[in-house]
Amino acid sequence: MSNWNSLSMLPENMLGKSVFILSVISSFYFPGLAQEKEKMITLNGYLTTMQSSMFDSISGPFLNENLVHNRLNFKAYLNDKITFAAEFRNRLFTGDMVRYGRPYAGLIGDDDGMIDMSWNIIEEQSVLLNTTVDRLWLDLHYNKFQVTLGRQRINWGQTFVWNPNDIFNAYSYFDFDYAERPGSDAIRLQFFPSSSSVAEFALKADAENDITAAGLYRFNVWNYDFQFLAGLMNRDEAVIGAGWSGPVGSMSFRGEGTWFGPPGQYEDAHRQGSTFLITAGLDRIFTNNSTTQVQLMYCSNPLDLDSFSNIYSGTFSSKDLAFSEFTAFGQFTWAATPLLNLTIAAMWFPDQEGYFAGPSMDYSLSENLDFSLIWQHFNALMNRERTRINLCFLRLKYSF
Amino acid sequence: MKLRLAAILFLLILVPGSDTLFAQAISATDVVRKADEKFNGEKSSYSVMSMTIIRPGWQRTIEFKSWTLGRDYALTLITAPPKEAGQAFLKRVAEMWTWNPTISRLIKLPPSMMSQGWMGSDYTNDDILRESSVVTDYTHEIVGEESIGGRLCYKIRMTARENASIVWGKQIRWIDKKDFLVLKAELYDEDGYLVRTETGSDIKVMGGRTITSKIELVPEEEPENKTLVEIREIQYDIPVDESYFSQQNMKRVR
Repeated sequence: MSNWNSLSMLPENMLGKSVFILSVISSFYFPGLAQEKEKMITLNGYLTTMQSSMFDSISGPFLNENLVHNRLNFKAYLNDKITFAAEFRNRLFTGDMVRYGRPYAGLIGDDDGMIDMSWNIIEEQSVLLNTTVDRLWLDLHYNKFQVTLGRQRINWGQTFVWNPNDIFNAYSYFDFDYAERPGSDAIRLQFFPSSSSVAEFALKADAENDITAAGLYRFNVWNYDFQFLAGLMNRDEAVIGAGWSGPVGSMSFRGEGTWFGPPGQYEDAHRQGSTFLITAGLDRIFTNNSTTQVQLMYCSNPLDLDSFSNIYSGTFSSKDLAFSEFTAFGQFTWAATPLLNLTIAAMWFPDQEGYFAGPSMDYSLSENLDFSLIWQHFNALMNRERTRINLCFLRLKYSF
Repeated sequence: MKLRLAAILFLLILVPGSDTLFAQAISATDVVRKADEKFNGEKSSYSVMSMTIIRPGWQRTIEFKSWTLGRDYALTLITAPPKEAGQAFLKRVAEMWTWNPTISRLIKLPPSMMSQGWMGSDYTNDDILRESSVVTDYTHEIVGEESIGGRLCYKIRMTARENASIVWGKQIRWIDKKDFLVLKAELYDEDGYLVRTETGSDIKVMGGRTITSKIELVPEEEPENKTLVEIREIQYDIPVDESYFSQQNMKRVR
């Protein structure tokens, strides 16, 4: 949004350029430093190249795209108590989507934070280079207290697929290539009353200067973790939630529920009334490392699904997880060999008479190089029309 | 769910002495007890280790640092490979969590999690979770003396007691007479079949003690599939108390 307008603003774009150049240069420079034993500064990250195709049927047109994606995570341990982090995402897009021009570039360059730290450095007909700073925080520890200031990820989720408790920045299951998720421009205070409990308060401001502020208390009892949270979202929407994680036999039972109050006058209300979301699931890991999980979700006030991009949306909120009153999810990962994982995942959206099916494979080519093949198939009634879409991804990922 | 990745490793360390080769072992039972107490009697420890899974055509290594206090508390930080580095595992009595820095998330792990292997490691449930004791759950008998790598060893046959709920029916251990190092162990199932052989080598003084710094596990049925554990650094009785093993600290250790 803000970035969309700022494209023509030279100074900001220059800032973007310098951030990109600096992050890349320093990634060559720092590994030397990182060799020392008690490292003051550390760098890690990954470099991926991903080829993707989007099509509704094999006979129809394909939209192909390539993404070269470099993530750099810098950390500076200033002393025992103070840590500084800066994390960068450099992405180079080429292909059919880029040719859509500004709307796509705008979407990629969008930064929902209070400070715009996403820059489209090159934005040409067939190529788009974006640099984003998605973490930039200072962390102070003192006894049982911790204060984190800046762009950070505040993750309050308990389950694996949908996280109604994750009110600062929800996770989209489908967006597998961005597990880190955008950061929140926030201040977060944590107090640890015991070794396995925390009381915290966080306050975030977004691009519209809307405030999300909430408190959470998590504790451990009867072999379970429980958490309770309450606060305000987007300035004036009340949120109250609870979540849990614990064992049931050899499985884990996790769940989260959140009540979102009716949107206030500031919200561009795409939904009336309050929304209650609850989800619970079981997961299990077998002795050969194969894993399985199931999760169900109920939503009192689901969103209309009018486009598949809703599911993917970058500025996804924890309130916007459901498109159907009930949603079901199942996944099985078979560790075929220690190097090869085969996964089949499925989701069911009864209200849309729709489903998602996602077979994928991950293969470890060498210690630091992984190959993935991911297929995402969606099939649902949208605007009373049967709509299908396939997304195929081939990814090579080098971690360092 | 990457959380399965190294849960085993950290348990490997946090139950020192529960595994055969960590135990250092005079009457047969005394030899075994001495070895076991020597290691299990530890108040606390800090170690840097690596574990390599070796298969025909490939191998993968994971490196980690571990802090332990008795049998109840442990904190492990993965330091390599880069993809898993930064993940921390915390055990407090029966509870276990993992911290994943990539997604900034604390994940509660089920107790069964502790039994998972990493990358097809040869360590099985019992190695890790075993509440059993090499001293009380077996009867011990010195069946001979043999030399391994120039070191004279007691050869001890350990037979599982009837009511002991343990996986191994029998173990044969070669325990060095001088330093009570377990240089070799054969583990047999309840039907008396050899399941795997463990060998300890590369004897070094580390943390003020003479220990075997390399331990190799070879399953009998697939001898080409090995697991190698190497101790790079170890310190005993470090000053650490229970509060070190906290959710707060697991995000900070390096």
